[in-house]
Amino acid sequence: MDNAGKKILIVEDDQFLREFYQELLQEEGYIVDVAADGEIALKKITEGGFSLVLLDIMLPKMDGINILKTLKTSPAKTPNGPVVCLTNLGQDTVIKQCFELGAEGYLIKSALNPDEVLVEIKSYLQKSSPNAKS
Amino acid sequence: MTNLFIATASILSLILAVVPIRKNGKSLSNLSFAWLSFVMGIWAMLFIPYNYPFLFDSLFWIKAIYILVCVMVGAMLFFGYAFPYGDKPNRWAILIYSVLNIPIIYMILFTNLFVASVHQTPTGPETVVGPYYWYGSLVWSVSGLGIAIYHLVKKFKKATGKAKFQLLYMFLGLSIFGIAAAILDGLIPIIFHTSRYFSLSAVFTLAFVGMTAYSIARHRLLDIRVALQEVLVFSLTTFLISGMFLIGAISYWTFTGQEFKMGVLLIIVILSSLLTLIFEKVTSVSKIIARNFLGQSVYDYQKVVRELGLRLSTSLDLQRLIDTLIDQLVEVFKLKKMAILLYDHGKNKYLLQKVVGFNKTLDQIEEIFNSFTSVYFPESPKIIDLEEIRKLSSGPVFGFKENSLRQLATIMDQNELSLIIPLVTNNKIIGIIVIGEKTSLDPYTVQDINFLNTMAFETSIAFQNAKSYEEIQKFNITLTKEVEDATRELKHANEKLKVLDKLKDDFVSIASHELRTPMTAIRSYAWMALNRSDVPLSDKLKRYLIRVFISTQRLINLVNDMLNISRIESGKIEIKPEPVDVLSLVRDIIDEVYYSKSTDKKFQFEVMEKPVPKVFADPDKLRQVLLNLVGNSIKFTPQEGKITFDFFTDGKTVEISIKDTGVGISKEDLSKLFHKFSRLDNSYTALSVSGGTGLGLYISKNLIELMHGTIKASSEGVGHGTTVTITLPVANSDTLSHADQFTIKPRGEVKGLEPVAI
Repeated sequence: MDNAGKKILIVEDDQFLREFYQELLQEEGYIVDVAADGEIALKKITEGGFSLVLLDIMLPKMDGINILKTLKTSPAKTPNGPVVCLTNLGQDTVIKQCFELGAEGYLIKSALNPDEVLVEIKSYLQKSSPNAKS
Repeated sequence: MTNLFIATASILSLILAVVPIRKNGKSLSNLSFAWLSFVMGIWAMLFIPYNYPFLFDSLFWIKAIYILVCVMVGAMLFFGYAFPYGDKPNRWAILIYSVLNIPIIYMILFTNLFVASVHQTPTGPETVVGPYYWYGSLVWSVSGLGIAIYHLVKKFKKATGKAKFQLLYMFLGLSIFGIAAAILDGLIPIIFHTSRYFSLSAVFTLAFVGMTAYSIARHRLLDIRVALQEVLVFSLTTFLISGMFLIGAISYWTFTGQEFKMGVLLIIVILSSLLTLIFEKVTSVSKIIARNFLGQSVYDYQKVVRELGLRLSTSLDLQRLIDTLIDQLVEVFKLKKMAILLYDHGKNKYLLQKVVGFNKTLDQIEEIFNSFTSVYFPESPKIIDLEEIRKLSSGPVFGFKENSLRQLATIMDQNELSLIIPLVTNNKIIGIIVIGEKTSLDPYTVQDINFLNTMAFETSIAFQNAKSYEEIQKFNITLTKEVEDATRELKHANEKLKVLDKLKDDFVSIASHELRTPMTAIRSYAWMALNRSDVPLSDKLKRYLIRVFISTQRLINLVNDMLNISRIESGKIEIKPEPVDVLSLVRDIIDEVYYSKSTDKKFQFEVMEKPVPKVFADPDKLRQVLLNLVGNSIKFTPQEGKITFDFFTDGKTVEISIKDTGVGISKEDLSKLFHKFSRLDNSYTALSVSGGTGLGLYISKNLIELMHGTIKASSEGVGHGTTVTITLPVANSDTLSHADQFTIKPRGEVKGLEPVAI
């Protein structure tokens, strides 16, 4: 599987959704790590080494916007792949803010079916590492 | 007997002459009366030496009498003009009078043509008149008496009130005397050649005196009565002094056995009256000298009035006015005691404003004034002078008036008040000034009272102005305070509302987010159950799961739409217009819908390519609207369909029409289309199956209208498809230069729109 070895971090506070995405991605062959709150998420992102980070915005302890802000000033030890927001906050103002803070994608959970989520993830991974495919 | 009447008439005339001079020596009217009265008195008096000749013979006295007649006629003429309004005599009248009388005086003094001789008879002196006696009689009767009476009558006809009565009595008095004199001294000697009744005419001066006295008593002012009283005092003094002299002289003659000399007695009477007069004058002059010597200022009435007027009129501060007034009056009169009270309408009594020198406590003074001003002032708000009141009330008590005057005098005495000055504007007493004695203990003169009257008038106006100004100021302050309070309350309320509004927004945002999280889980797991099940699903189970999936989707859409409506309705949506190429926007949307795979229905899109100008709109919002409309067309088209985009422009606006081949709308439903939760009778099934919310068109309409556009729908009927048309302004120089009118910038937090479901 070409997805093998790709490490994805899922940052999601809702247990059912977190486990849902975890299962979905693991079945696709990705290596999945999870974080249930903002602080753990920041710690793991700072450690680095993820091919993709799926970041929720509304989180306990520290929200996604602040994580993006922190990452701008103190980059990860081992570089990560793209950070994609996966959230239910659909306002264009929030979306714009996320892109400005360095997010490379923005997915609205309630608007996407699971297969669509997978398509999006795949496309982000491809965009970030065009060499891996070739 | 006749002589006794003559003497009485003469003395009374002389007394009458003093009265108006004392009242007001400067008034021409008063002067004319005094002069006439004086001349008449002297003239009458001369009949005594004529009847009982001493020093000179009767011829001399009768000539003196006639010279005085000349003077008296002149006085009558003067009086006729000047009484009672102070008119000056006509120049022609003076000239004619002089021309006519000079020959008479010449004839009397140097010839026998007027008076020939006087013979002494047992009944008294008998005068033989000369051949030109008639001339004198005629001149006097016509040019003097006649003209005077004519003028009095003329004025009487026009006069009103008090002056009318005065004129009537003066006319009567003068006429009776004049006619008597004309008959007794003119007609009788000429016709009957006898001068026996000469002396009788002198008695008729009593008619003039009596009428005048009656007129004064009934129709003159109170203060002239006071002056009259003073004159009576003067007469009594004169009477006493001359009596003492007379007793002395008579006793001397009795002891020495000498004969009584009438001439000497007469001189004694005249001298003693003059003495009394001189004595009073000397006293007052010495008083002034003493005052100057003691350093007490005799003030310049005009100057003080002018200065005070200026100072009073240049201030609107009540307290400063009161201070100014007190300073000035204390300075001018060298006062020790003074107080100012002003009437307070709220408390309905006089309140003490400032007091200088009185021993009484403030409350006592206030009480005194409140008790007596209510009794005395409303009737006649004039200056009350203690001296006057004392004199008026010192007589026997006749009734209420005298009694109340006596009470007033007692109150003033007890509280050491010399004058009470009312301050009157518009016939209302607004306050009172009370002053005590002068340090010099001098009485208040006529000049003082005049000055105080003028001062009271000016002060009243100044106080009234200051009071009005103060009231306006107070009102302004209250008003400002009330407005401030109201503003503060409103601000407070507004801030509270803002906080509440923010809380509400936050709650709605969080609640909807929290709602969406479990819904996303349901939706996702339902999808997984349908698509990734490891066991085959029965058709029944599949149908159930599809319905769970669609309903969840619908629920999510509802939450999004309601959030959007709440944001639009509370004005949180920002509109940033820019020129938008509608053709390329439509192509983008077709791509988005085509690739979103949100439906497995077969659709054909057609864009009628036409050159249309760019519209002036917010591209994000317009995109939302077009997506919603396309989504609707898909939802309401059963299986296969075609969506046609067409454009039209009139130069000012651009029309974008989206025509589908769907179920269409009945005419009755068209009107409900853009309402909230518009449940269309004929499309309900489609709505629930498609996951629609019934809010999309309402949102679209609002967004289009925010962008100065219109939206409408038409349909040939059920089964014939629907056409929705949007009209938007063209982006030209006109709209671009007025971009601010198309822009909407919310005051508070700006919210975006949730994505629309296709």
